Amino acid sequence: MRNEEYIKKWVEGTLGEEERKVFEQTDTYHSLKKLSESLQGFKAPEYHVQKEWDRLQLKRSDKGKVKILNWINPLLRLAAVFVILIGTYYFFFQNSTTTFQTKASENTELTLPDSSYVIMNAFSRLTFNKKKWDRYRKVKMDGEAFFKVVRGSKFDVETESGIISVLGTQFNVKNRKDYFEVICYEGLVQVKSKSEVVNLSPQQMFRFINGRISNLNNLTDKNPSWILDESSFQSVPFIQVIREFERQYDVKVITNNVDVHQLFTGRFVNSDISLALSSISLPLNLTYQMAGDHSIILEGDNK
Amino acid sequence: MGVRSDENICDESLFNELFKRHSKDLYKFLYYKYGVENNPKDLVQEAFLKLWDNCHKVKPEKARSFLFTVANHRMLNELAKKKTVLKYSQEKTLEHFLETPELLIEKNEYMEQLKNALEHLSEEQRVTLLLNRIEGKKHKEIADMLGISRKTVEKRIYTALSILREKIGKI
Repeated sequence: MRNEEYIKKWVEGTLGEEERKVFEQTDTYHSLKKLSESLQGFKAPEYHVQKEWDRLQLKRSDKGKVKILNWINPLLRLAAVFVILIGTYYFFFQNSTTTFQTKASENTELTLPDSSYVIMNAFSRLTFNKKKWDRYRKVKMDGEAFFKVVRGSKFDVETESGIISVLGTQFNVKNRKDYFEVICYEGLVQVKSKSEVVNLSPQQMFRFINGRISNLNNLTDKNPSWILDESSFQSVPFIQVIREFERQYDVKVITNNVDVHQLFTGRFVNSDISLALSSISLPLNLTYQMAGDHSIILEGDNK
Repeated sequence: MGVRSDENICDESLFNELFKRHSKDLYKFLYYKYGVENNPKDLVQEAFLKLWDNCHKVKPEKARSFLFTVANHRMLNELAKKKTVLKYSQEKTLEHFLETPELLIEKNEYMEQLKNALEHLSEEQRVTLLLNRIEGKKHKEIADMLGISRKTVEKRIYTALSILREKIGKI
């Protein structure tokens, strides 16, 4: 019998008594025996049935939890939709923003929720949020306004040119085209513009015209002049004077041969147009001419 | 098998009984076939979870083949299947203490080669051989476990032995 057949029969366990004795004498048998014994070293690591069962129980309970969540999920989604709907409703229909606006040649006085007092000059706009007011005193302002702020938490005036922060004080903010000016009359005012932060004490002014910053101290006025129906200017480009004039009298001013960039110091009344025109034309040797109800021509003399 | 076919696997005690009866065999099967790196213990758990999910559909007497099929398919679906790695230990040899260093080295070399040869057997050859040689499973039991004939089991064992002997024949 050949080796192969012996092995086959050995595997099947069908070797006869005689055959087995013969086979056990061969090298093949010994190498097989060694191989077989060595294989015992490859026995799989111990498997603890109870331990694995406990592990399975944990996984099953985890799965259970997932199922419960899956059941809750649609409810959560529904709840989320409601929250969004209610939120949207409040956002659009319970809008608590208050806006005040003045037209040309118009002044308005108003009192904010904390009884702070504001006078708005012509062509100005002021908005604030009533609901948030208790937490944060903040108004957005475009144009010119004078503030008398009641002492309390921080009070912010937000303009395009900068933020003015105070605690309780009186100050004037003028935020016009190419022109930003803050004057402090009482207390302490902080002005935060894009480029810098300035603290103003009473009778100090911060001004930002055409990218140039200037500060003035020792102002004499206790209140902005416009409150007393006067517009006053100190070293201001003439174009700004003209624009203020247009706002106060609701007219269009056409200039002819006039240097609008020269600096102007002076004032004009806001209640008498002929007197006001004289006030701004005489000092600069200009002549004026009414052209219809709403236009005025200002002309230089040296042609 | 002692399981009445009118019983339902969804019954907690029957499910536990099935786990006690089959989980160990399933584990050995997966270990010898795919090695330790492919987490045979976790695969056993997954197979039983699947059995629980399907407890209404699977009859108790079919549970065993269901488990083996599920675990095997799960393994085949695993795209990043790891190379089969087996581990061996020699702690059980009592002569260990009497052996000379030379003998010990020789034995280690032999085991290394055997490990290498085993890992290169086909999965079917390896699982058949080791269930028989190590776990002492009878040919008939293995045939039932793998769903093949007894004759095939014997042929696989013989082929596997021949390959191993050829690869490490010199020693």
